[in-house]
Amino acid sequence: MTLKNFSFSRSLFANRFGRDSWLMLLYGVLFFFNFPVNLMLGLPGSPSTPPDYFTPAQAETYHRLQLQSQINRTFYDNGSLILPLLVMMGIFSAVWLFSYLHRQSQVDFYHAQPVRRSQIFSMNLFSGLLYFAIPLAANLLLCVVALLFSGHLYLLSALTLLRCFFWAVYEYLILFSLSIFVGMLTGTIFAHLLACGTVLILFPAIVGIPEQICSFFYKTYFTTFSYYHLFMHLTPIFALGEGNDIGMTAECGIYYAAVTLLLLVGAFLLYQKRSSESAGIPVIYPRLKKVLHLVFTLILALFGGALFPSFTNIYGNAQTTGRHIWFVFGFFIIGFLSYMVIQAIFEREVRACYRRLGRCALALGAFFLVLCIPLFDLTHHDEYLPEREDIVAVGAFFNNFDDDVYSQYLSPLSVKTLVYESPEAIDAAYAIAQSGVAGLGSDSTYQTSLVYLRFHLKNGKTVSRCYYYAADEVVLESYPIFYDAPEGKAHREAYGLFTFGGDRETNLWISNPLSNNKLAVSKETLQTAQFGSTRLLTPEEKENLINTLNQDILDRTFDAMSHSARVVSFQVAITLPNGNETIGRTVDVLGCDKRTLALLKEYGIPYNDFSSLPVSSVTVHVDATYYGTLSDALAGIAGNDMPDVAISYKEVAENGSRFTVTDPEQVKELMSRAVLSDLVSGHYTFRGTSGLYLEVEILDNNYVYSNHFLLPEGQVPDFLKAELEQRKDKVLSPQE
Amino acid sequence: MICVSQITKRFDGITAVDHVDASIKQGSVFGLIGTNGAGKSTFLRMVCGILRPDEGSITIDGQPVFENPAVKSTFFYISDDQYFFPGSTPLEMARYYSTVYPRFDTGRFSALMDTFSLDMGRKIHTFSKGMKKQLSILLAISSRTDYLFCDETFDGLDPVMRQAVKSLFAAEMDERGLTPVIASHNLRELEDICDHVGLLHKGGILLNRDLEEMKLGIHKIQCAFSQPVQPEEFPFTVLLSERRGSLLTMTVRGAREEILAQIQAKNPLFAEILPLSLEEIFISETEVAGYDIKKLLF
Repeated sequence: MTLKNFSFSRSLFANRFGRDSWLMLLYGVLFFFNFPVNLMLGLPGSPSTPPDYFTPAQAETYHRLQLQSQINRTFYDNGSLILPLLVMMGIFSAVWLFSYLHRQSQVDFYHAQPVRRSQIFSMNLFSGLLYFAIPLAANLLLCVVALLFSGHLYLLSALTLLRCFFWAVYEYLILFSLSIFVGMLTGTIFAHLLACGTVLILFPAIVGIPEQICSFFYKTYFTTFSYYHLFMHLTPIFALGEGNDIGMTAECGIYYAAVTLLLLVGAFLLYQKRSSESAGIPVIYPRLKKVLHLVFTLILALFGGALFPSFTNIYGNAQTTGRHIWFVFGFFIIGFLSYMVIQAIFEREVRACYRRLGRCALALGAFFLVLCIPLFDLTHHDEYLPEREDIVAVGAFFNNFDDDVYSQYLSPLSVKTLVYESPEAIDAAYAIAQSGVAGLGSDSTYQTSLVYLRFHLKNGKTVSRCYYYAADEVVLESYPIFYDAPEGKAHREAYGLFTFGGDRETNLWISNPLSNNKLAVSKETLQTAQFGSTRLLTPEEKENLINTLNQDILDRTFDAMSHSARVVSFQVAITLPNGNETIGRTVDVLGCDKRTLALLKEYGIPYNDFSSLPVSSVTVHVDATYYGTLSDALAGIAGNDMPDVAISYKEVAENGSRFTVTDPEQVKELMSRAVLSDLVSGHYTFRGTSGLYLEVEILDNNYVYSNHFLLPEGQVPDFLKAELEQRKDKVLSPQE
Repeated sequence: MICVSQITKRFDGITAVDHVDASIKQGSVFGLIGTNGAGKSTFLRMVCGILRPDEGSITIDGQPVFENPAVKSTFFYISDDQYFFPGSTPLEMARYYSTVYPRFDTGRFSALMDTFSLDMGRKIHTFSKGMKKQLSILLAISSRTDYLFCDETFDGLDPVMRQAVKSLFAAEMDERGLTPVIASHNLRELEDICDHVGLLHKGGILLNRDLEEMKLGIHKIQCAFSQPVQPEEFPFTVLLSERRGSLLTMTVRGAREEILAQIQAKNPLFAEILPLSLEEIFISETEVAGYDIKKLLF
């Protein structure tokens, strides 16, 4: 086999190309809506009022940021429709180009000609790539023309454009190859489509189904393994999609390149071996047909079992008998129906759906027997507790606790970092576990809360469980033990340490994972910052740091929070309004727990420890939620996307809702009690509580903070309370 | 020359072609006879390189066929369900074939289309079955290949058109030595065109003989005697005999002159040698082999 075997005549290709021009036209129309139309509809026509952390002089900067954001969305995220388009085009191209394998007359036609099979294969492969790439390129060029005429072409770089093009082609090639491979095993269009769908969901299903079964049946099931993570990586259309929180890592890219190559080689070999008489046979290998039939039936049966309970509107956890009965019902009904439909497709006869139902019953029954293990908890999963003396530490996470603002941002996987070693904490966790599971009553319409526990044992193993609790259970009494424990305090303190600095002219931002606070950086950083890097870091240093942080912090809170393979790095968005140049874009997220700080120090990455910065003044914002009742707070939240404090931020000091504290001791006291907050999503912190927003300014006038800190209600110092009381009337009855 | 040696093909446990040998000389017309399911199409597909034999070998002019574009360019295959590009016209199909077969003669194709009164610019999907068959044949002829494989090509053609096609084949054979291989279940169709015939039944070849040789060696005689004469009394081999009153009709094997002399020796009232049809030859030959060919073919 030489390369010559894969060459094909130009005239033959031209003939093929001409006949398939309608396909390119179709793809062109679809891309037209995904790229040029999407781009132009999303570009803001005129500058809008920027958020309040921009000065009025920076309105143009904000406008450009919005333009850049839309351009990024179009070219980095490949447009809003790209994922369904890729799936559709990848599958359809292969179905169309190799559709001749479905009919005997066409197989005879092509294989009798003086053309090798390898040449036919390579011609179809090449055609499929061109049918995608040409309309894509044409539409990207249309975008360039559109930006040129709208005067925004300067915001788009050639590199970005090329990157967008090649990513889309790469992702398409993966799905196209998968569909070709599947097509070599099938001989009808329905079987081809069915098999494509099966393969696309197969690997994620294999990973996700056991986990879903356990979480459905077991009352206390909880795992710290990120199935979501694995699931997203095993599904090509998610793993490769830019703009999601998984993103395309280099490893992912290489993995899928290898998979694509294997698929293409496998498809070619299958094509060479394929008997021409297999045209019209749904699955050309009898054994594969049986396996495919069975696998798809079981997957759909499980889907039916999961779906049916939702029809009954039974909320709550899994132990209600009603849900189990519906599960069984749905499992068998959907299982049988799926089997029959697939049977009809494979036999190419509707009446064939009634055949071999006994085999179906046997398979479903056998699988159901396995499901009985979690269904009836035959392994006593829910009852199991390790011996107290075997437990050396416990990870605990309390979901939905209003007093703990950070609980709003964390996920159950944070039990990996919220580890408590004190005997009191372990005893408290053990007591929670021993108190048993209080199932939610079927008449309850309120969402319950959960406590996640991860027991660390002497032998190095861990046992993870989660428990529901009602408001009056022992867990509420146990919570302060964890909140006040040294580990809890340290965890909260870590989030108070961020780097920031900057000036009003440059608006250099650094974001943090907890919030959308924009942090300015120093002039020095501004002058030396490079795209995608931090100041003074060489590319190797940055890569080492990221790899190290990824390695060390993989199971840490930020990983849990972001569900991202790119755990910790730096998120830098650099815009120079005076230079009309966008240096960087949002890359990654910096986490700053103590361990991270130590690494930052080790690598010499400059940062400013908050506690060491000389804060010159603190401006306190207070609004109605501080004085109002819970219902007022809720009403305020319901009525606004932004909490009232955001509106009050724009108000002048004379309204009485802002005042500045300058006494150094008072400033220090305030900063020691304050926690970081998020202006945009700050209303979450008001669930049942109220607080004060603090705007902080440091001593050096070259620096300004556009951060916002929250002073929880219970943390308001006495010297502030008098001032706040004086302003109550003004705040509650604002002047027009 | 096409050499087929012990080729076998199995599908899902069914042996479609079972150790078949055949040798097709260049410049001759080979007729492949068989009932439905005998293996004719499978045989032809293997010869065309569409299917790979499970056993045996096929060579055309000494070269293997399968995945050999050089060899495949020497023949054109007309299947019983010929495929044309959707929405295409004869002109477009001709253009396509001209890219595939280097010797495709576009002028010849146009002339033939005129001769057969087929519209070059009309959509093929509007053609009748017979017209599509005609088109297939004209495209095949215009490709100017050395070999032409036809699978039940004459089905769907009216008698006039059938004769026209046979004349066309004959002309091509004379002009450039075209070698047609025609598969059919209709003996009468191939009678006046084939030089060599092969009979396939249940995947195996029952008969593979030169037609002239078969005709030379078999004769049909009608005779009448004043006294009853039994066929067994004659020294020559009687393949088939039928008596109607005093008229005795025999199909016999042997040399013509010898047979006549031996009959004359019995002083017949009447003796005449009649022409044998291909069908009668087949029946005679295969009955010897123990097959009731009438059941197989008709």
